[in-house]
Amino acid sequence: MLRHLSCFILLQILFTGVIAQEYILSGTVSQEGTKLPLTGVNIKIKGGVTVTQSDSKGDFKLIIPDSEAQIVVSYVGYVTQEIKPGKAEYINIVLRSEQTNLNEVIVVAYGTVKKENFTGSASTVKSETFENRPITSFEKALQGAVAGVQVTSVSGQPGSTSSVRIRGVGSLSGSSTPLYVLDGVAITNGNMSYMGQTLEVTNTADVLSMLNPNDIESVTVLKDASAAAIYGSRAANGVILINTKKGKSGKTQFSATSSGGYSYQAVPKHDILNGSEYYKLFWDNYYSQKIKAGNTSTDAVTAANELTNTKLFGSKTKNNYNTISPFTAKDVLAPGAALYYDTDWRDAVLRKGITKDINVSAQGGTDKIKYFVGGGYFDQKGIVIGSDFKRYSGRVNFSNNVSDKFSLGINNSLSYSDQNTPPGAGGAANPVRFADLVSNIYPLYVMDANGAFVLNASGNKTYSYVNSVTPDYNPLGLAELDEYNTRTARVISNPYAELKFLKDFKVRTSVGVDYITNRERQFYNTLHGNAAIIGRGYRYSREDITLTFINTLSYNKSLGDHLIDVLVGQEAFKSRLDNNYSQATNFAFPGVDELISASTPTIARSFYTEKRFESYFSRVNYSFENKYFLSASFRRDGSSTFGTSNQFGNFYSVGGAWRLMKERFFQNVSFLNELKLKASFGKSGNDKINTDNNRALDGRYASQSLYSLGKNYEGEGGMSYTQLGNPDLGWEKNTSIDVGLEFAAVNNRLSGEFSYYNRGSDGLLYFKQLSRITGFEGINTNFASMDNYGFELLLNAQPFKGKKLDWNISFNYARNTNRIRKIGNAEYLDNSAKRWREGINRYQWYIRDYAGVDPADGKPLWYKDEIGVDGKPKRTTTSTWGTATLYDNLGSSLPKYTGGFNSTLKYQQFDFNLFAYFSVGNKIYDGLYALLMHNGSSIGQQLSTDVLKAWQKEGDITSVPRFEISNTDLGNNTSSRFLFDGSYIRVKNISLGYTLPKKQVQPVGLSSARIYLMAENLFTIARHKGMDPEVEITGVNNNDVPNIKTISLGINIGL
Amino acid sequence: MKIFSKYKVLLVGAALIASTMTACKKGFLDVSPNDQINANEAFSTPEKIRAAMTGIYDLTTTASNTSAYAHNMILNSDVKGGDVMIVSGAANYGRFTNGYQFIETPNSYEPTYYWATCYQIIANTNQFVANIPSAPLTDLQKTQYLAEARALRAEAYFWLVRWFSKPYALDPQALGVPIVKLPLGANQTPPGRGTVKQVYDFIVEDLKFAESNLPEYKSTTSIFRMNIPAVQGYLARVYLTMENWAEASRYAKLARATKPLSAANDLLNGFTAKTSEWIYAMNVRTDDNQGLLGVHSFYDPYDVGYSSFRVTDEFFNSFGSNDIRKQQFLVKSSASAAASTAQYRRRGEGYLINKFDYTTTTARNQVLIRSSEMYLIEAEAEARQGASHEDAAKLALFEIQKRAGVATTITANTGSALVKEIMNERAKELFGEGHKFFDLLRTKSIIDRTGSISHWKIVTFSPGDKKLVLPIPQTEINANPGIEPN
Repeated sequence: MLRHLSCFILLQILFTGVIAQEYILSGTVSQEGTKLPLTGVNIKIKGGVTVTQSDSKGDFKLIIPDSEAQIVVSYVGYVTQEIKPGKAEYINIVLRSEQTNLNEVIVVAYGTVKKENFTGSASTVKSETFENRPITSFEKALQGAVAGVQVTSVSGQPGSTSSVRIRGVGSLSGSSTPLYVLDGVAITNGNMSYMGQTLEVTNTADVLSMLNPNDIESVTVLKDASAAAIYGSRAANGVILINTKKGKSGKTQFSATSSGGYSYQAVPKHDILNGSEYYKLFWDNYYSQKIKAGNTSTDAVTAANELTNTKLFGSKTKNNYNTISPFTAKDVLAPGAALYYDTDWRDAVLRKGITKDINVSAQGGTDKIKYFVGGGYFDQKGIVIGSDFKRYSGRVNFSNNVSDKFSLGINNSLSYSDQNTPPGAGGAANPVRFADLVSNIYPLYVMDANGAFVLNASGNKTYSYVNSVTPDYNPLGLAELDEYNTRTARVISNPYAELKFLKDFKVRTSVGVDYITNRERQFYNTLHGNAAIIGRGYRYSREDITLTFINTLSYNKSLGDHLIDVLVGQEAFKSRLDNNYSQATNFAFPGVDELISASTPTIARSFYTEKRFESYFSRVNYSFENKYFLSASFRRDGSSTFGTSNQFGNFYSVGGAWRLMKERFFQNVSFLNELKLKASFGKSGNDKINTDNNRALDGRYASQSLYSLGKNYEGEGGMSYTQLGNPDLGWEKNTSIDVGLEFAAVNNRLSGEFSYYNRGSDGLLYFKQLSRITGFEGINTNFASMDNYGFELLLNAQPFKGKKLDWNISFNYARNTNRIRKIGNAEYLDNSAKRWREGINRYQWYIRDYAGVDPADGKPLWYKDEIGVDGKPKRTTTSTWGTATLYDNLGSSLPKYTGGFNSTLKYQQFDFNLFAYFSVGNKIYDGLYALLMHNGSSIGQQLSTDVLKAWQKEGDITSVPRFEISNTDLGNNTSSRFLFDGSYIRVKNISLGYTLPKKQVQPVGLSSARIYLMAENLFTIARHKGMDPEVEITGVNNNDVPNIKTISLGINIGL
Repeated sequence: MKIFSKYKVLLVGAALIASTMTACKKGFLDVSPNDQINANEAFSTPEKIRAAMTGIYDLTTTASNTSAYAHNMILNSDVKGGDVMIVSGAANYGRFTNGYQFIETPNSYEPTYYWATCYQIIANTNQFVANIPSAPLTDLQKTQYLAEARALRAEAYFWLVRWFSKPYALDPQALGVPIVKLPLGANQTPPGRGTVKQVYDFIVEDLKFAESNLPEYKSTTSIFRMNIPAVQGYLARVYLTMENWAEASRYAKLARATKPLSAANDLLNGFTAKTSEWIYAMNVRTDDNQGLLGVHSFYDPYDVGYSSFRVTDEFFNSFGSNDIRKQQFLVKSSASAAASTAQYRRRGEGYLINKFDYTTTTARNQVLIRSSEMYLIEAEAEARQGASHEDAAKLALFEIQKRAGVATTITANTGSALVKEIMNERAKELFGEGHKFFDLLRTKSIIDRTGSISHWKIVTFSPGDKKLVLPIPQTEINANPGIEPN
């Protein structure tokens, strides 16, 4: 009933009347500082029709309807002013250039606000940060650009997802990802790939990479409650507002940019053994075994040759040498013995990546009609075989002020991508994993007994599929035979209409359509690898449609020094994700891969999931004398995710700001330009139970008790009890406090901001582990609580300011502490070796502590806590991994602090930009290094050169345990041995540009031209070498396509 | 441009807003999945009840990393038993190396998923126990469903108690596993562990109920679902484990009554298709999409599956040359090569095994109980009852030996020599089918690999050694602090 009433009231407000009374106002407009008159400035009555312009002397005349009227003075490149002349007949207007920071207009929830009036905490990143970067998605450019925003892009696969965390990690097992809002409408983010979720295929198909970064005008990150809480339910982990480029009135501006670049692996991996070192390590081990057993050295040599051949190659008469007995004595190679080959698998699967990026756009318009049209083509060939991404994108933004009162417009984004991804994760066909794990002793190509390549019918070398780690796999061969393809199309369309009435009221309605389709093809060939002999094909298709309806009514009024701005609104969305998946085997013959050519259908599956949302919200902003600011918001949200009793949640915020600069006692402090104190408090929510990249199972029905279908047996349809319901499941709530200080000094050439925050998350959505005796792994609950607190510092300085030399530097720093406040008595483990316990960090490592090598026998040791004979606890060591104690005081995978540094230098026609990111104080686990230190337990598996430092005889002091064939010491099992300091600094971007002088480009019909050389991820300085320090938030590296560095050359042209 | 009249504009605006006021509808927030149904409705119609029963069997065949029932528990029993081994450095993502070396920890996947899968199946059967009495079924249908559910529940408890508790024969008063007879809610405290004997008594009670209430066995009834001979087969096994020799022998005979031994050549057909002697088996069809996660894949000698199991030289050499079962080790030069290329092939530490075919079909059924095991149970149970029962034991044993081609007359052995002969025959007949480790446990034998030329991990465990019982999984200890760890 209440709902109906609110809808009705909203409509009723529209119908009321108006009154008027007129006089003439004259005045002049001049520039701040120089006091020179400004020509062509638009002056009009706020909410009115008539527009006048200042003449060459800066003078103007305008009819004022009544003493309450306000005039709006606007001029391109200058801050728009609203003035209430009252009864004055002549005024002097001074316009300030838009450069100064605090006068920026920033985009906030459901509108814009002047930065100086803003009570919340938000950071804006401008288009310069995204443009021309060789990246598929804009989030990758946020890294280090905004204080308190942690962005990690782990994969070098173009089009892969990044994880973004604002002010720490707010959720336990629910999503900690912020809400993404494009031109005012919330959009879908995450990984849409079915293939990437259900099978071991590399992290792929980020739907945000469907947005061309070059179409983005700015991105605003809303960090505290005052800024974000109006998004209520979905703002608990912050909000990222993306604003696309809009047309500006004036002459049509064409622009074209083109760039191309090469990519390489960003960070080199650990050194590994070559083919002869690997063979010799095994040989030596067998030799000393035999000597120890009392054999003569001649017998030991013969045995070692034979045993090594058998162990590594499965036959006494096979190995990687040109002789079956490569050694004639210890350390003595047989005369003429040489390697037939020494396969560098890493080299074989890596290649030079290539990026091409072309964008054209046009924008312009009149006072009434404005448009922006853009098109882009992005093509990146990844650095690993079988990895590429192509995107075709288009954008049309259009707006029309039909009348002074009525305007409408539409923002459209269309894009299509075609992407190939190599298999990933732990799959045997993953080229990266294969190259890391298979030793050099196995051949890439088939060779005959004399070491000559065996050629196939078409005269090419034949791939060899023989190795003992993953028999019948060869990543190069499989890359030619198998397929992993994802094609995604996305349309985001957002029509809106706005109506002004009764002078101070404005009603706006908009509809957002976010449509994504995703079609995937996966094929395992019949000859080798995952589905040898029969072959296996997969087809996935997905369709995700989200419709969002937003209606707002705003009221804006100034009464003397009082300004009030009220917003009420209603929002609803419905989202449906439709899935189709089929699979078949037994392909007719090699070379055919469509399912129709397979004889045995094995899987046919279709289903959809839905989610709906309805919300009512309001916000009031009030300011007095442009000095004191207050804002408050309230929102009520209902989500279909929760049990009927807890579907609705109430969210709110209050915030205030005080511009101390405006107080009389600061009037004489001439070096200060701005000083503002602000504080906010509020509550927002989260209903995303899913972890980031699992949209198929995103917990849309988390509160319900469910039997799942598809549990078939003997050809009959079945179902089983898969989810224990929790009808009380409700909103996860996040309460945050934010206190900040902003300042600007020395003619705005030094400015900055300091803020302190404390976010308390309660009723955390998480999957509480149950005793398995219940038959269930756990249940969705709102039980736990967690805190994040810290501070952020932002400093901007402009050491040089001028036309010839202009230099801007900025620095940001954020420190965050995460602590689990409440989780109950039991201790829960997540699947990445972390323990959740009250009083510690959510990402605290929980592993065994390595105690080095026992000098007596070379076995690895770990610490163990025991109760001593005296009844007191004592710490000893053990060589049995299983009985060692797990500790949670070995560090966390969350960095202690992160930040960025940016320097922009312009000198005459040159510009130089440097942008670096740092992350300090976390512990990362080098899983690859652990695999490479198996010390003989995994036959044929690659070894790090550090294995050569292994313990050899009693008394040896080393940190590397003994090497033994078929080693069972478990020395490389998870422990602090492979936990390293994850601190690093990365130079994210360096560019050097040259803008051609106007007099050179104008004769050829161009208005501007700039050429530049750019390097992305050029240097990384890390405490731990051998792995890319930019890892998942869990601190674990994966076997996916490694991060890349890209060097590109480009040109931007304006017409 | 002509300016819109004020009211026209207002009307247009109002119309726009009204059209987008979707959320003002009642029930807008009610959504439900279409690949799942509300648990409250699972027992509301006979068709749904049938599907819920089918779903329990599916849980036993699920091919995933966990696949406890589908392959892991079966293979782990053989690998710990010692006749079969996992080759060192096997390319199967580290599976079975823990079990082989007896180094499972509370965090290892073996205890974790054996425990979770068995209790998941038990929870689904308990839904039947709780909901069937009020379901829209005839009384006869109700008891039949209850019988089927309780047979499946007994099967799960039999797995659990053998993995997580000391052998009944060693100490019936040792810690058992928690018995839940009805669905356990999220807020209820799980029961404690009780004794091994209590668990066995519960298993026998369930199986006996099933035996009397399952539909009478007809040839049309599937051997892939719980049927009376299958329940009798389990009773034979359970009684053998409890050393109730008379009942073990009686049930072994009942179970095989309608299931004659098949021809010797069927032993060489790859154990994928049912033969006359199959009593109970897991049905695996092409659409179950088991892929590499089945028993057959791990035994496959051709690198088509995971191909990671071997038999030891000692076990291989124990087969007589006239033993047809020795031909289960004949391996062709490649999966598609001519039969004439077949020979015994040693690779890695032991001999390749061709008992289970992986290359010709994706529908690889997994046999769980067959008559030859029943003959061997009968032989053993009789022999262990003393001299007066030895003739019966020898006759039962002879059935197996005769078919294998290793004997033409009944054995002359008596006493412990006879028992030993039966146990050896049992090892050869049933290797790869998940028995050996449990046989060693229930007969209180020493597990000893000393002197083996094949084993890459030499171990020696006396009966009762802690390592012979899986640790209670860490996940359980975390969520259920009341549980007593092993």
